[in-house]
Amino acid sequence: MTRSPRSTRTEARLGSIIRPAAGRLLLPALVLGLIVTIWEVWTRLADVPVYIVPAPSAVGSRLLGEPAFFAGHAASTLSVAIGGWALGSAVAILYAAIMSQSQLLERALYPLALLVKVVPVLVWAVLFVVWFGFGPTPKVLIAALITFFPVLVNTLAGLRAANAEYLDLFRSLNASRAQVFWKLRAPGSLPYLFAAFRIAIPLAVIGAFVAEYFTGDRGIGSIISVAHSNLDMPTVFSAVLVLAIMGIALTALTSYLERRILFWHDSFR
Amino acid sequence: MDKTPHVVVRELTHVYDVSGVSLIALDKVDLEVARGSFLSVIGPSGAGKTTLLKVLGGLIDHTSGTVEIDGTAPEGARRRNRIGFVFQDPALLPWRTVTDNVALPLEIANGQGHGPDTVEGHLRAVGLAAFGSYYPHQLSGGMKQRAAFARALASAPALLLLDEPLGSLDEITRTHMRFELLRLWEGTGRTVVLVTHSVPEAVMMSDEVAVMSSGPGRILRNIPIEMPRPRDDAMEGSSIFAEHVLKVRESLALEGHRGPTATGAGSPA
Repeated sequence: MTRSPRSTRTEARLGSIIRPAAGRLLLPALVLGLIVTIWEVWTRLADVPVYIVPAPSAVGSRLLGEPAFFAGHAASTLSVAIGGWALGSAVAILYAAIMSQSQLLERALYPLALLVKVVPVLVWAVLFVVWFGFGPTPKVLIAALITFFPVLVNTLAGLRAANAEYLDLFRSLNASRAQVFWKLRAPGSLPYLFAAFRIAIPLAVIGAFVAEYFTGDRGIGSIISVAHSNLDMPTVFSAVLVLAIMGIALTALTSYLERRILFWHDSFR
Repeated sequence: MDKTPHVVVRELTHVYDVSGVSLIALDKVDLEVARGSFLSVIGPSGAGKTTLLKVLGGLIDHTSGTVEIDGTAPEGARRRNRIGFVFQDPALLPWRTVTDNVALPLEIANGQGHGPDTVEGHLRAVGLAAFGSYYPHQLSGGMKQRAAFARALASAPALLLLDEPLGSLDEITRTHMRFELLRLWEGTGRTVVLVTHSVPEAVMMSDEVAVMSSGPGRILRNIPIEMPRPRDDAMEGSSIFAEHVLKVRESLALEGHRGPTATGAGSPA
């Protein structure tokens, strides 16, 4: 009965470092390398014009030829995406916390959230530009808007998810409503919140991109908008590559934080 | 010590309303539990044992009859932190260490602060002194349940309500923990009401066994267990133990032969 969890844990941790390094990174890298090679050979053999599909080497030299240009705009997109995600999540969590207090509040407030959700993002984009001009504000708001709904729905589900045994326990200990919320419901909703983040963070990047594409003079979206109208495909592809790397990096960061914070959850044992 | 019974139940009836149909869970149950004694409630599934325990603990309001704990309603006794619960599921909060889980009742009762010394004492009592910084997922089933006992003892309740606390453990651990539990309880002067499905467990641990029938839940017989204390595993082979087990089994068999009777439900579905 007194097995030692510490040693089994160390073994598991070693395994989880070595195996994924080989399996998770090597295999996708090989697949990607193969695709890039075929692409390069194809554009050269078929003599595909650079304004239709640029060769990977052309994209690479464009990207590495002016790294500061891409990095600067990427930073702009990233700050809009993260700002929007933070704002959208904060409002969504607060809104869900209020709704979780009673059925009446949920009935009163949910339709409003749904209204925000069903109005197309482009309509909001137009309105935000009218109201707030072309600065960073409307872009952050669009990213926030896209983040809002998935975070709201999941947080609400998480706050409601406390099982009967825990509720009986807290009741038997005479816990107040506030104590049940802060000591049981709030920490219990974290796995749901992270599930929402996994959806919402890539969405925030897309939101930032779309906002920049239509309204921006800065950011990856604006680069693509300008390069596209100039038929400058190496720049378009470079910008897309930067966007993809950004999305993957943010997703990896979320997973990492999730593992660190939710080490106690079933899905990480 | 006070001669008045710790728990007095008179004509307790509890009716559940299951989507319009009344289900009588408890029908005119009478029960007395002497102060400082150990009483087990045994009976088939659906006999209302858990309902009885939840009424005693003030977790649910009963339909009619009187229930007094120390001369007051269960709700009041619960509010004065006079009642400790242990459920079949250990219900440890997965994001808290063992120490913080055991400290939960103190934290809820006095706001934030809790004496680490008290918690450590309870951990030592259940043999988990070395595991205070572990998380529940790092413990075996038996260790988790011991932590749940330490938590129940942390608020120093006068009445302990145990709802099949050993039910989810394997047979070997379970038999062993019976005696561990008895060691924890002996000399504390606490009153214990244990709900169980196991006849040997009820006999080995109790001063008295209340045998319940199902549909509707009634107490058929109260069987005093006239075995000396402290009890130990050597008694498992004794004839006096075997006699008591037989007595309880006969009462349960009686219930079995009666067969399922009309539940007294409002209308047949």
